[in-house]
Amino acid sequence: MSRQVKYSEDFFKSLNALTGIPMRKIQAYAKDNNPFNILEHPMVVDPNEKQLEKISKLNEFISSYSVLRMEEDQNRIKFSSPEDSGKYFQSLLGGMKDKERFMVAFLDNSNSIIETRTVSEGGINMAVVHPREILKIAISNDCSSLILSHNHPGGSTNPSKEDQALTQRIVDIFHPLSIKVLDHIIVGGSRFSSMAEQGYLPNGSLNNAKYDPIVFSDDIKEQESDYPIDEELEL
Amino acid sequence: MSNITKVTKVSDDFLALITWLTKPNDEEIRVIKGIVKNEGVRALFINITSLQVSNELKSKLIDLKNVIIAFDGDISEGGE
Repeated sequence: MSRQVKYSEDFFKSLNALTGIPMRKIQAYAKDNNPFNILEHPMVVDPNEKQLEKISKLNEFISSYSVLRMEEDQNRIKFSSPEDSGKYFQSLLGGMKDKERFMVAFLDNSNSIIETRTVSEGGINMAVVHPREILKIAISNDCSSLILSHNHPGGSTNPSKEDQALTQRIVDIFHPLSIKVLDHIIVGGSRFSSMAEQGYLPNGSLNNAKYDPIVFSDDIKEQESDYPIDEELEL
Repeated sequence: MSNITKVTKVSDDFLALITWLTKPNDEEIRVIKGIVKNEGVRALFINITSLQVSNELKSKLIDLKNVIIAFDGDISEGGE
């Protein structure tokens, strides 16, 4: 089995923690060899019985992970409706009661997820989103579209003026690149709402793109929301 | 054996192995199982810090993540 290795101190420390092989042995071996050989040919570091068992389990784990990951790649999550994306982000953000998190799903041209990232995490009522970070990820994974999502720790799923302004800012940045912002899902506990479904999603760029960090406060959002939505959406 | 059966078997193996390697408690096993079943194995290693599990388990999961990153360098997440 041929493995492409990226050496890092974190990897050495983790290998030490997971297998019990002393750091000095790992580092000494890695000076002139591929450290992954330790997993494939453990006798190179003369492990004891317990260490050998841990190495064996770690190898099995890596193989098992690889198979499942390949399986996932073949069956990527595909969004065909706001309900799909809402349920997806609700599963990721619904349990966040003590902090606000902003996530972005980067999609290919069939609306399948290439990857999903947390791009901001703040306190209970505020987070800062750096558009530059989202742009960097979008360029690197060559996505065709995005779905934004964040949670309201207070439980409301009403989109606010700030939510809409933030969405517009992201649209302004990605519109010239032909990367569509398909939706902005707002999660509040076990519920979610779709700004696209409610007609609050901007269709195109209104302003010149601005890359300054965007600060939004959950307090303001929930107090100042003036959209004509009196009740939480049940989706 | 159908593909679904194969994947289920691999998924069970994966859960057994991660349990052996990280020693989660019963509630943490439930959390891990739920994420793997509903979101997939990659999702488990994305945003480890937000999982509702002990710091000790998070640390072990980060160790596994570091090995996975060394293995194939792609886990859809920049790091912890």
